[in-house]
Amino acid sequence: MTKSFTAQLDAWALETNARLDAVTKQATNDLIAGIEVAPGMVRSGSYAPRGTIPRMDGALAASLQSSLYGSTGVNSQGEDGYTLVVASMQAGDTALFSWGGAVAPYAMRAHYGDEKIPGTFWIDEAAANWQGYVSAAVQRAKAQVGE
Amino acid sequence: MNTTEIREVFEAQLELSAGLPALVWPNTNAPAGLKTKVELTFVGSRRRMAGLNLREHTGSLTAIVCFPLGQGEDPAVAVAEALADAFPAGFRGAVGGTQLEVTETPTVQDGYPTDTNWRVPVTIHYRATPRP
Repeated sequence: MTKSFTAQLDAWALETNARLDAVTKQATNDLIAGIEVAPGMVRSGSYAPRGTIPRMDGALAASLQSSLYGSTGVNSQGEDGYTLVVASMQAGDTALFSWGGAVAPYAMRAHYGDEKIPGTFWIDEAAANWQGYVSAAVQRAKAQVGE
Repeated sequence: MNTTEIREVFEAQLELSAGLPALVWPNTNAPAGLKTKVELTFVGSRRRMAGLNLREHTGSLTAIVCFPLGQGEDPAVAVAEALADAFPAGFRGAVGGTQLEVTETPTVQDGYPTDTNWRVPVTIHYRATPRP
């Protein structure tokens, strides 16, 4: 399951490579960190909400594989492994985040659903927010430099 | 412009595609036991309002092509690819006060098995705005 992103950046962010790198790191970090893990099913019989990773047996969230291709090559496995990739990112790099594999072969069923349980579409829901994460990262970077 | 018209733009284009299995829209019931079908779900919808009026709606329509197990991957993939081809990047459609544009080439994901189906997801990204 993959999704690529592009974003509209304002002139301030485009002015220096350092600003571009900072916005790239912050927006990517916020996107992945913002994906919540929720109980797959609660006693009331309701299912995990849209946009969340259902925690059925714990393996799905932990199956996150994070890879960076570009200025540096980095690979990391685990729920928090994305932080290593984010820390090494520069604007223009390609980062790949995926769930599933041998650790959680049911990832597609959890994401898109099956006959019994609706999908939670956490990748598509996060992707829909990408521009918002970028805009927020630009605002935070501006605030940090006092502009 | 409203969400009903957005669905109707997709419906109209899907009806032009020959050979698609039964379409199952959100919160509708498929006939019992129907194993060959396309389940449709709106995902990641973002609405921008001006007062009470919807000014822009972005998101994606996920179409999950379902075939019975044991038929191999090809039948479901063929339908998924035909469905994706019906909505090329730049496709425009309009119904009532709504115009819709497909913003990028649809993606056909790898298939996966469930208890009774082989399922292939297709994601179609769109942006809808009021018709001028």
